[in-house]
Amino acid sequence: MNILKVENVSKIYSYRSKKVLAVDNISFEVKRGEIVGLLGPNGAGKTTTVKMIASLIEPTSGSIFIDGKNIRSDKKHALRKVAAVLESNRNIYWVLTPRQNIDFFANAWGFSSRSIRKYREELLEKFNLLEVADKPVMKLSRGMQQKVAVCCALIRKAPLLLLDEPTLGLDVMTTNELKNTLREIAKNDGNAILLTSHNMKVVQDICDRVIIIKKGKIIADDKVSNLIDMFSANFFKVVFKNGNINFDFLIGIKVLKSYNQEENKAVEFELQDEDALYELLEVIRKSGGKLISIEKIQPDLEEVFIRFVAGG
Amino acid sequence: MLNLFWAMIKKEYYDRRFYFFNTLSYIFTLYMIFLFVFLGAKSFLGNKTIEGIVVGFWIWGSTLDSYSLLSLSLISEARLGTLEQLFMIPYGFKWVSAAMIIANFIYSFLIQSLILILMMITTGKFLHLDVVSIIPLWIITIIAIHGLGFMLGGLALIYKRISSSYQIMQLVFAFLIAAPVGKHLYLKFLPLGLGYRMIQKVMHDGIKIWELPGTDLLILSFTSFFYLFIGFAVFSYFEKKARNMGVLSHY
Ligand SMILES: Nc1ncnc2c1ncn2[C@@H]1O[C@H](COP(=O)(O)OP(=O)(O)OP(=O)(O)O)[C@@H](O)[C@H]1O
Ligand SMILES: [Mg+2]
Repeated sequence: MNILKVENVSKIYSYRSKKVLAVDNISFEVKRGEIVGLLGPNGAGKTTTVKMIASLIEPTSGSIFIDGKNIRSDKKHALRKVAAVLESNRNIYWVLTPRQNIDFFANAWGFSSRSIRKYREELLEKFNLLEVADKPVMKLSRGMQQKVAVCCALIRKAPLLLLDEPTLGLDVMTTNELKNTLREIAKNDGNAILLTSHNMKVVQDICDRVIIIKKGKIIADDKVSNLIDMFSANFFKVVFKNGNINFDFLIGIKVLKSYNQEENKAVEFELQDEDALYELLEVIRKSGGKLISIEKIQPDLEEVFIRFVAGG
Repeated sequence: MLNLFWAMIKKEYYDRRFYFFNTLSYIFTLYMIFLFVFLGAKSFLGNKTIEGIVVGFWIWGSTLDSYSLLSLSLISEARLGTLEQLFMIPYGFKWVSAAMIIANFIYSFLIQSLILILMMITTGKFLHLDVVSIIPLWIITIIAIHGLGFMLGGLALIYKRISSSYQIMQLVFAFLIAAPVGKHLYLKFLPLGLGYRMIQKVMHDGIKIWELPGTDLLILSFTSFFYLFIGFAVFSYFEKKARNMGVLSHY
């Protein structure tokens, strides 16, 4: 069964007689063990969506079910099934140490300290936090604080984990570490994760599925690979020798990258017009260039995302 | 559920330990204010009212602790981003706040008792420390203040920057404690005044809780829980509003 079901949910914020339609009739589901990325430009409604699922913002209409429990009418049971890190490193107590924080949140959920001790130490080890486990959180780096916040969420063993921008402000190493651990947790423990991020690399690397929202509406919901395939028909790389061309004058082609490879030159582009490829080859030939190869390339999620948001 | 209460008690302990010097300076400040009032009262009123001042001060200090919990602490949790996590605890915020109140009771009682001992040593007036009678009266009296704290905490969820009222409330509490409940019956229905009189009777005159007038006990319990109930209702109203406006964590 689905761990999360969002059904025709809308949110209208009204303040000072102004009304903002932040989320516009969205529906989607998340399966157990699935990692889903919620993408969208600033103000698309990602945080609003996540906080509605966490029961912190009341939807204007629609229903949300966690593990089959309605978060409005059966809140107590629904909340047992979900844990969230919503304000990155701000969701924990800075005066307390990582161990004390983890214990606090476990206790507050009803677990005894003894029953979670083993898992707590496992988590601290997995996130490389053992060394700082007894230092006040305020003395830790931002990345460590964020990892502690994730530990505090994980300790509850809730089958659904919500993460709002978990990699915001993290360096490459820490991002990778978090990425790997999240993937491991989803795989081993069967936790479902719904995360928002502006970091397309993170999303591409760990998410099984991506939901793109724009102005509160879902404009795409599919596997990452399917989304990439959708656009890959138009992405090419052409390698040639000699010839000197200013690609900017070509219509119907969007140049992504052009570079010199040893003696060869290459251009990666997105085709926006069927005939433009032939035109490009013609221009290369006319300028005295010799064609070496044409190959299809895979756009990355970032390219796909930009196309979706610009178009849809 | 016990784990939830335990969690709050431990957290409060870590907090106090971390801010140990703040706690010390808080105790010191309260004591200095007391000295000031005590020396002033002695020269104006003579020795007669000293016990009243000691007990009144003890209650006043306790009200400050309690009032700051649901107004100041709640606001600081909202600012730190932890309030949202507290709202996601499956037991519901009712129980979470109950646990916070109990943890607050414990530490407030310890700190205020320390100040009480200091005050007794300073004045040389050793009061009747009949714990069995005092603790229930103290708790019931202070519960009314948690009601007020909830009201302000609720208001603060929506109308930020309300915490400056804390200074004003310190004075209001002092007036409420000093209210002449003996003269005007209706004053018994306000928070603090009646409770203070009853605690004073226990501590000063050595009367046991069961020797106090039953109607007063009834009025005290009824009004205190009434204020708590109203406070929580107001809080819940604003909490719902904050959920609708999406501002639970904004500060
Ligand atoms: N409490 C609020 N009151 C009024 N409007 C709000 C509130 N919170 C968000 N909004 C508005 O709702 C829309 C969606 O905001 P939301 O925070 O959900 O976007 P987001 O996708 O998380 O953006 P970001 O990528 O910047 O985090 C925005 O137009 C925002 O201005
Ligand atoms: Mg956001």
